[in-house]
Amino acid sequence: MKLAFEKDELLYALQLVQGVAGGRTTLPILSNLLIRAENGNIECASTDLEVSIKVRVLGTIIEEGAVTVSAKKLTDIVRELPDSMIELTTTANYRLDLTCGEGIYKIYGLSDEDFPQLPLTDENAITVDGDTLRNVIYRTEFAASTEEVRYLLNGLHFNLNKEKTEVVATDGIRQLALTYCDLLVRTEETNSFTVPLKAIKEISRTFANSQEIKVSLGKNQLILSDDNATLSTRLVEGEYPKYHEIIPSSFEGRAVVSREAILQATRRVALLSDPKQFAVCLEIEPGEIRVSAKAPELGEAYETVAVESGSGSVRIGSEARALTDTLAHIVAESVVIEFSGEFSQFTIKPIGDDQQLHVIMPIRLE
Amino acid sequence: MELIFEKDDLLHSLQLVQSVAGGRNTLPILANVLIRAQDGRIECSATDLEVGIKVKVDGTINEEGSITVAAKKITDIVRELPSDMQITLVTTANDRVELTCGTGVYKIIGLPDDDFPELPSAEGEGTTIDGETLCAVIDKTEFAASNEEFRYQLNGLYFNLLEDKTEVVATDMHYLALTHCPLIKAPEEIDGFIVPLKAVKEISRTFANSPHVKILPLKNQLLLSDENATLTTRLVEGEYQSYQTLIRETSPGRVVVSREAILRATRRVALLSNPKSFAIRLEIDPENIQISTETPEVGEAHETVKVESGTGNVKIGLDANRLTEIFTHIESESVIVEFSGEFEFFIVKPESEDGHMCFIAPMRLKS
Repeated sequence: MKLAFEKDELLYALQLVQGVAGGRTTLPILSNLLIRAENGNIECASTDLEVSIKVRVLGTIIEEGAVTVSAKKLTDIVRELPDSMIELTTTANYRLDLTCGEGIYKIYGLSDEDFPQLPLTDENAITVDGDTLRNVIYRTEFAASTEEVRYLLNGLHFNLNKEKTEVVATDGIRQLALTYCDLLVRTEETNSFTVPLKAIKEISRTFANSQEIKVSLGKNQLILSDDNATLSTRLVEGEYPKYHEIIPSSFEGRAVVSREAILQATRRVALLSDPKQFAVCLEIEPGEIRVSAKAPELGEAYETVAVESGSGSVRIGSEARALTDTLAHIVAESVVIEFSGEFSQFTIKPIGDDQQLHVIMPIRLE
Repeated sequence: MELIFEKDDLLHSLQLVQSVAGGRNTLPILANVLIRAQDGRIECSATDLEVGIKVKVDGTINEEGSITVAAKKITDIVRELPSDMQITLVTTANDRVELTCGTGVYKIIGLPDDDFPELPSAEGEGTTIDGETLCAVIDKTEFAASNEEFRYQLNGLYFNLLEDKTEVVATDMHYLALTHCPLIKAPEEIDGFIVPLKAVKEISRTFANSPHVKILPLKNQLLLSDENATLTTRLVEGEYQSYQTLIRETSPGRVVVSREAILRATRRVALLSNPKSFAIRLEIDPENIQISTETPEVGEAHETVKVESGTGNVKIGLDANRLTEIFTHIESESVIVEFSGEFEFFIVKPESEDGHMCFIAPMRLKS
């Protein structure tokens, strides 16, 4: 194999795939990335057996071939190189020689034959707007659990209804985020699936600027692709909890407030909340919301935020981070808070967007 | 006590003192900041008993008084407050502080100021130097100091008060950085002192933009002050490592090379060096410096950097990380590299020869 690249082209591709390559604990070949020049195309790929990613690299093929080398080493070296042409050549024993200006770097690699099979794009894929997919992720991902014991919740759940796809994330304790989008995939076999969080992060990185993304559901895996990259991920196995039950269907009161004002007030007041429970108290009235917190050894704080319109009143406790994370991931000037009583979960929705819903579990106040 | 501040003034002062205040493992009062309004002046202070800092805060005094509160809490709250708003601080019963800003009210439980350690004030004749020079001296040396606790004498910057100049030195015994600083006056019995690294960091933060910093070395203690801030630190006890024998008048070999070129080449080659030793090889001749490394199972790397001018040859093994640190902390476009042989210390200094020089120990090469 003999290839020539502009530094920036190669670096861009390496940085996209490097995040997936495994750390020290996995099989040695999984910390390597594959570089393959075949049929006039150059590709870079990496996998941790859960998520795989393959990226096309712009470059000149002088001779086709393939090799795998340490993803981190190669990326680190290319990042530090000056902006000039880089030549990659394979030599005996799977060694990759990189030359750039006066520099020669010889990196010991492994045969590409041991590299796991990479995903193929599916002909039956549905094309999704890139912004839509990125928005769906932004609005929900933060609410997912990162605790390994709740592995079923360590991802985004896609529920395929007839017309719409419902996307959900929850940590199972404090919060749930739900959003709707147009049909994402078409399949006879299942009506829902869960994508692991690691894959979600890589999807955001890989398709950060893609206008259109093709999505298809295979057997226990999801494949996404655009003109340059293909990403496949295993799905989380097991049944996602029945979350519809915790979404309230009716309310006794509601209040519309400025999102920014209540977010900032909550964030500040939370600094004097009990460091164990991290609770803030919301006292909602038709005219204002009083946000307060108290910690026995630290002190206490309160702020008031004007309500734009509302009815009913309640005094309810919430975990501060669930509240601030939720408010931070809503893109709207104002939000509506709907509540039923101090022991019932309440919801937060953006005003002017009925495609997004957040549920927050109350916590008992002393 | 009742005080009014602009957010940015209060935040700026709190941020300066907060990093000195102790963490969880210290006495509770040491995690607090002291806010005191007295004689028409508002001051914030913090100390961990090793380093102490006192900063003047711009604000309006409605009623004098003082209180101590958790440094981290109050800084976090003030940081999150809306900008361009006035902040009122009032002490209430039971050592509480009530902070109000807009519609927000924050009542923070504090401790009385009686238990707060008194910080020494900077009385006495000192030497005045400008903050920029002081920070430059720190930047040129601090990186070479040891962080290993068992070498506590090396966990600081050594100021060697010579008759005609002051030498500032840091070393971890594998490399050493030395520079000169304007003459510092001290009582006769003091001929040098070691400033702990924590204090060195605070000095850079506190006095970077100060035109006149007064330095006053005392027995076991150093005082630095300008019109807004006073910083005191305990000095490291013990004798500093002697280093004078490293300094040599001339070396048989000497080349001048672009700093940027050799820094970048070293950094790249280091990526394929042995992950434990970071050993790289330099082969210097009057035309080129070749930098290379070989590591079994990883790979090998070679770079060549053109020499601008020079004499002599050497083939020497060096620690790539330390060499990179040295090149990073030298300011000039080109650097001078001096060498005497493969088992002798290797010297790097700026082309300007302003007294800044770095020494790095050779490593034995496997041939």
